[in-house]
Amino acid sequence: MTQPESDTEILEGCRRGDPQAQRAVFERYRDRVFSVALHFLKGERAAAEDVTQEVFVKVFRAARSFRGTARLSTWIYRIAAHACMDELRRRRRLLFFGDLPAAIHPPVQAADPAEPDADVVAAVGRLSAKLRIAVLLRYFDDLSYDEIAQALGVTSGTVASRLNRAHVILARELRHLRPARPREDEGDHARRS
Amino acid sequence: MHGDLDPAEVERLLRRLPLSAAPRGLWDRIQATLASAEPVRPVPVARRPARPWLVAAATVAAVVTGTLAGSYVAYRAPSRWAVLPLAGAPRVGGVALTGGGELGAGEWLVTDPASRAELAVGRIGTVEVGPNTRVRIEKGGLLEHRLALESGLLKAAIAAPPRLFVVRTPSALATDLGCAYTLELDTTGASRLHVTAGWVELAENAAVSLVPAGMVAEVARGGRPGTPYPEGFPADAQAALRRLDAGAGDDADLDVVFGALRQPTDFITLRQQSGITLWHIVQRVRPALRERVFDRLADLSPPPDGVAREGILALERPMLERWRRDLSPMWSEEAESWWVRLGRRLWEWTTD
Repeated sequence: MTQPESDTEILEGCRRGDPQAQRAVFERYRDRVFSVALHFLKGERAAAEDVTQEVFVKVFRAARSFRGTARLSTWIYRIAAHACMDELRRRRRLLFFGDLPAAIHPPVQAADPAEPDADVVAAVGRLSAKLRIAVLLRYFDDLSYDEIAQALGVTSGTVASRLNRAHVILARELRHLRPARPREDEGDHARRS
Repeated sequence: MHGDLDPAEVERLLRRLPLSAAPRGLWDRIQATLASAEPVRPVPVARRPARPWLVAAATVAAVVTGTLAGSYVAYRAPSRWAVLPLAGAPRVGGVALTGGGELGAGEWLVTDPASRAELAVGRIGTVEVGPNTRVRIEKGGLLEHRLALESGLLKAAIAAPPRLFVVRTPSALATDLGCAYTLELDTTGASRLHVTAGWVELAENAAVSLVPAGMVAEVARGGRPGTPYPEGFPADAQAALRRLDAGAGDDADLDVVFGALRQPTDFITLRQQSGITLWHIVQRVRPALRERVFDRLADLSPPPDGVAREGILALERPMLERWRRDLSPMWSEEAESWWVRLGRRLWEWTTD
């Protein structure tokens, strides 16, 4: 049996309940959906796993009702974004009632200060939820502003505004990662030698 | 900002966000969930959280609507006001009343030397119409109830927000600021206002006098409202005050007025009555006399913070207003619209 290749073929297979089509969707998007959830939930793997599972179950169950007005990836990210936000709201409610056992959601792993990427991950984690999800959709799958807008249910202008604010905040927070520029005398020395 | 990363550098770093591999067992869990009837936690696909500004706007709209509805019920005056004869046979529209009647907008209520009547001003108060009086309703509504007093005397007792009840005479406009008062016209059309509770604003020809309880103010036809003076003010002091109001007074007139203002023994009464009189005089005397009045007023009640001698002598409005409020809190001097007053009150609350 051949593996479905295009989004259209995959989608048709999912609508029929074809396990191979479902597996193809899962293999194609699982790491990116999991990574978006993981970064959105600030490194809490168990919660990110739950959200990822929830996203794919929802995708497979709702495939019949998907009208194909957006790209498959945009639709999946839309479901992922809302699952992330929903998880955040649920956690806030639990925190409000003091009912969030540490065993279910272990504490966030501290970023390794020696790793520049760890600083980036930590800085993204400190963004507000709305800015954070826009950044993750933009940089994990290179979604366009229009696609992010569709996924989040906002306008493209709002997406542009949120990304711009996120960039400004990150530019300030990550200023210590600015590449060292050669001093003038070093440059002269290099040219002389 | 200086030292921050360039946008291109931020993008470069974000593109290095690590992609994490989903756990291996996840597919089996998904299959198990799909195979079972276990409902997955619903994902809100297009739900948006309630917007705080929308909730706030709805709350404000509800409060405003409720306030307006309440005001309408409480303060509106019907187009026809109930008239009750108190003595004799007052005439409404030329018809003598023997029992209760009504006065419509534009109709005259006329009393002779032997008759008196009472008018009901919606739900906000009553007006007793004295003998030999001609009065009619100019306007009855939610925002203003206005009577025209052509001659005679009326006694008003009003319990309503300020500026809701107004009486126009041939010589002045008397605006209720929450009060009870007697307004009397002489044969020339000059008005004499005697306030017995609260405050009344007397205005004409771009001049305003604020008259508190226990004070009297007069205005001649075609003239400007005079400075309020206490009840029982001596006749010579009243004459001196009229000259000062007209800008023709001198040091001797000031001496007479200052001497008359010493009389109350109760300091609070002295401060309020003399203070409001002096506050009016300082704005009306010739510049050469202004310093004396300022000193006298400052002795009685030192100017509050933000009020300077030079500002008062230059008749700077904000300083005069500030001092007036310090002398005795009361309603605004100017005929402001309700939203200006509301804004000013909010400003005062937030800056106090």
